[in-house]
Amino acid sequence: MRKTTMAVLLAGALAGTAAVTGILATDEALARERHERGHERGHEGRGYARSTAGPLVKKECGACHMVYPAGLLPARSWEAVMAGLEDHFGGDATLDPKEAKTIETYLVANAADAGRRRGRSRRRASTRKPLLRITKTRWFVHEHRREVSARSRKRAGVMGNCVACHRGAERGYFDDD
Amino acid sequence: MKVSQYGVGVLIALAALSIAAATSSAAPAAGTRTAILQSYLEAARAADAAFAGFDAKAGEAFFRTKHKGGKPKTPACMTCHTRDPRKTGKTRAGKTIAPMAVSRTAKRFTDPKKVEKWFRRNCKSVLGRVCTPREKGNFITFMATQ
Repeated sequence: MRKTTMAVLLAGALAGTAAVTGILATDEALARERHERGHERGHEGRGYARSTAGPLVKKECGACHMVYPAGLLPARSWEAVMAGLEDHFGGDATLDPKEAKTIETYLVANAADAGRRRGRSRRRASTRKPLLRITKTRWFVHEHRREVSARSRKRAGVMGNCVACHRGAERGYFDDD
Repeated sequence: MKVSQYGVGVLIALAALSIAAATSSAAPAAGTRTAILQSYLEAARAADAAFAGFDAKAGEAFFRTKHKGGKPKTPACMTCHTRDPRKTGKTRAGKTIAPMAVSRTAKRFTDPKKVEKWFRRNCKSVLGRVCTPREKGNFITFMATQ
């Protein structure tokens, strides 16, 4: 084969490979960008959930576990948690009734669906029992799927120990892992 | 210079204040624990006229027993507070607990509301019932020796 023909074929092959790679890379970049935009817009808006945990919430709820930002659960879940403090994930977490009321008001006011309870959600009010465990919410499961190494998991102890990997968790900040 | 003169004065004042604060905070802590023990003593005596007084050894045995009747995940005080009261404990959710030993955590058992709250919760979790004033007093007496 003549040298120039070979050169043209080689150049063509290289250009073709580059083009295909370029297209694939763009696809991936686009997909990733779409995912990140989803984060900013709100599916990780919870990442910055308002969690100005008042001193009472910090003292009472934060005694046994990190202060979970109220925005991590919907209001119905928080109401169910506060109604079941006698058996709070296997232990008694009962409070002075006045303090319990204060805490519940705070949690409901800052819940994931705060401000949206009237209207849409009422119409389709779910008859299912409200989910109490943050680590079982769809959002949480999605965020952590294939993300947690066995070593991290062991070090944290339980998935509910957010601060083990997310230092700013109590402030509602989870992007630091 | 005026600045350094004031500076020294401020430092001395701060030192004096902090010494005063340190000494004053130590005394009430011990006094309140005594008051709490006293109230349990009176309650124990009301329940049993023959009650002689609290026993640190009984408190230790109570601390180390694997009780029945409570929740399965918390059969003993040691479950969260560990075998050694002088060590930091850990809650089931991964949070550290300051040592129960008074020698390590000076403010232990000095806030009556806090003491009652935790006895109420933890006795329910560990024993499945309310702890008696005698058990509470023995427990505190033991921790005060640690």
